[in-house]
Amino acid sequence: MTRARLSTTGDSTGNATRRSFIAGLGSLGFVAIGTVAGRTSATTDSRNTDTQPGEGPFTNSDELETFVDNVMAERLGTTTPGATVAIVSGDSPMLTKGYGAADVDTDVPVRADETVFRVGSVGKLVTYTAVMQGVEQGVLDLDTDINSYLGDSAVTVSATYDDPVTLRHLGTHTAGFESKIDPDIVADPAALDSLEALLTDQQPSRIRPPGELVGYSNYGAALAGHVVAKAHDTTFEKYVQSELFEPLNMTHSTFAQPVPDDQPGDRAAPHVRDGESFLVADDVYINMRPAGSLSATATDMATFMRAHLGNGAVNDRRILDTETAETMHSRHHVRHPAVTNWRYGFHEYGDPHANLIGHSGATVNFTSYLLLAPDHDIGIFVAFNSNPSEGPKAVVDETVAEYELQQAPTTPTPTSRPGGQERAETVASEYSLTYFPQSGPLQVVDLLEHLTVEPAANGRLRTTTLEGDARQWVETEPYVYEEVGGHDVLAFEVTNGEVDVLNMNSEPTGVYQPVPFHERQLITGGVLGTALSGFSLSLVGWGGHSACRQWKQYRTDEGSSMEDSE
Amino acid sequence: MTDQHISQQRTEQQQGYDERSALTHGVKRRLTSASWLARGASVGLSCVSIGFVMLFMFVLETGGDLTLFTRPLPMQIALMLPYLIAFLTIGTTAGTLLAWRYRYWSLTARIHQTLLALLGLVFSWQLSTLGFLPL
Repeated sequence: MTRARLSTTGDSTGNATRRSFIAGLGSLGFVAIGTVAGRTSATTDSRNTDTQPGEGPFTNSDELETFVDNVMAERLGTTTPGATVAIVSGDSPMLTKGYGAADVDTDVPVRADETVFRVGSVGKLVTYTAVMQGVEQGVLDLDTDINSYLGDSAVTVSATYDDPVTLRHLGTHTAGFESKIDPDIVADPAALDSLEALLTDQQPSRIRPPGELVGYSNYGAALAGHVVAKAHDTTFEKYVQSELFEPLNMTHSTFAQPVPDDQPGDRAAPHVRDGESFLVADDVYINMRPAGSLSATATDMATFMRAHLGNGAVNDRRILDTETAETMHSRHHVRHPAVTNWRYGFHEYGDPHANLIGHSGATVNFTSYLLLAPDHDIGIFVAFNSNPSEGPKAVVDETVAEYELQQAPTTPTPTSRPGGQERAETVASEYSLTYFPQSGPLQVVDLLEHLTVEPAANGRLRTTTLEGDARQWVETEPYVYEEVGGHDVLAFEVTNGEVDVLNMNSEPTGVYQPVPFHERQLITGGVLGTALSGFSLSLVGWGGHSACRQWKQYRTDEGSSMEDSE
Repeated sequence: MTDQHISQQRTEQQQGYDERSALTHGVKRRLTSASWLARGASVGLSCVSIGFVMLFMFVLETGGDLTLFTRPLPMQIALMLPYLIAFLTIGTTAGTLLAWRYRYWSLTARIHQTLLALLGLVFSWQLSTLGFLPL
């Protein structure tokens, strides 16, 4: 039986201030930074390589419950005040259970069937399921210019490139929109706009031709939701309610913000860490609603997972035809064959050959993760009412390892192709991710998240980040490197001796691109540090000079007044 | 009231007028003095640059990461400062050119002013690279 070793990469002991800064940004309805914790999943105990995956360690739900209870006991009160978990197997829920407090002020316990959590970007899976319903009905097509669905809408995608943006691009985050990270979060629900106005006002630039590179986009998901609404001549919220939540009897699920008072169930409160305890925080509202405003219980998410595992149906309640569900779960964009790629709305998880698909999510102070293992008919959903550095994905990772849903990593075998050291020199550079903003003050996040790739001995690579995440990689095929002691993979695409992109297995939401010399961390840090030191020294010098002059003046005045008095 | 008292009061009033007049004159003289403005721009550049970094970090630390998105007033103020830094950099650079052209101050002060202008230019360049200035 294999258990994931958590925090083996040093992520958890990194700089806490920087972690909170980045984690906060990562929490905003986008997955990417969640993979800081996610990378820990890649490391599993390699002693059990003989074990076949998927045999499953649990003979009954009691054993599963004991396992999850233990996993959650390590976290309750320290990592999060409360959590909700759903694990389904085939057509039946194996476990739906609440843990800890829904609200530390009132001490209301979390109940899986009653306590509603904000699930953030996991809600995108609902949005993309709605798109696939439209495809099935023939009112939408994955390869048609989405402007053709926006005829009577104020929203129009500009013709920056010859190729139009399609729903396939939106579902795989390859539309080429500039990322803004922020799904337009507002603190006051009165500040929520209509989806149409929002998509018009907040339209990002198209910075890459569609279909080429992955760059996670909240705007793209919101636009997909708007296309659904327009195609069915209704609002996004009404459509999802009547065509997904009602047929599946997901009575506690809603995209409405705030959650209406007449909605059944309790609401989990968001929490922030305060020393050793947790404080209830103010909730926030996500303007790009189809991208991240879903609130749901674990029981409802169990039903949603069962519908996907059941190829579109739960018992006699069907939301997608089998063929449509299979299409949704098949690959729609390949970054590189050696790494995780994109299904429709889902990205692959862990070993790209294990057929595990999922999505993470969060609002500012909620985090969640949903994972499906279609080959094993297993679905796992975990949500926290807090946003710790090691979020629900770590719980999913442990459960995946316990279920043996993927092979434990083996020791990478170096490629026999000569020239490894030259290739290592070729790919050595500093890289930035496509899902970070290319304009505005949030570019600073991009800078902080740069990945440095350096050649190491014997054609190996060494990668480092500012956060202190240092890893070694062995080249297994030309320009494909496997992590030493983990599942992670780096796959470079090189043209004429220049790296075009670097695909990292654990970062499905974007690709890395080489950073120009003047934008590298050392240059930026050096320039900013030098300038601030110069300004500080000047102020100190001026201050000292002025004080010296005043002192001399004082002494002169005092001397002359003594002479006068004499 | 004796004549002596009246005379003393007038003297005090006169002194007050003189001080105010001197102050007004001093401010006017400085505001119209290119050399003073050049030095003022470099002092301002140093103060505002350090102030920007401190305020930005302070708002992030106290208000949390969310302030980057919801942008409360202190964050709005912090994000306005790079524009002021760019303006003061232009002023410092122009002042440096004038300082060498008209030989303001001592040679050391001119070299110092030149260094500050260069620091302002590279600082503004990096603020632009980081997205604080839409150049």
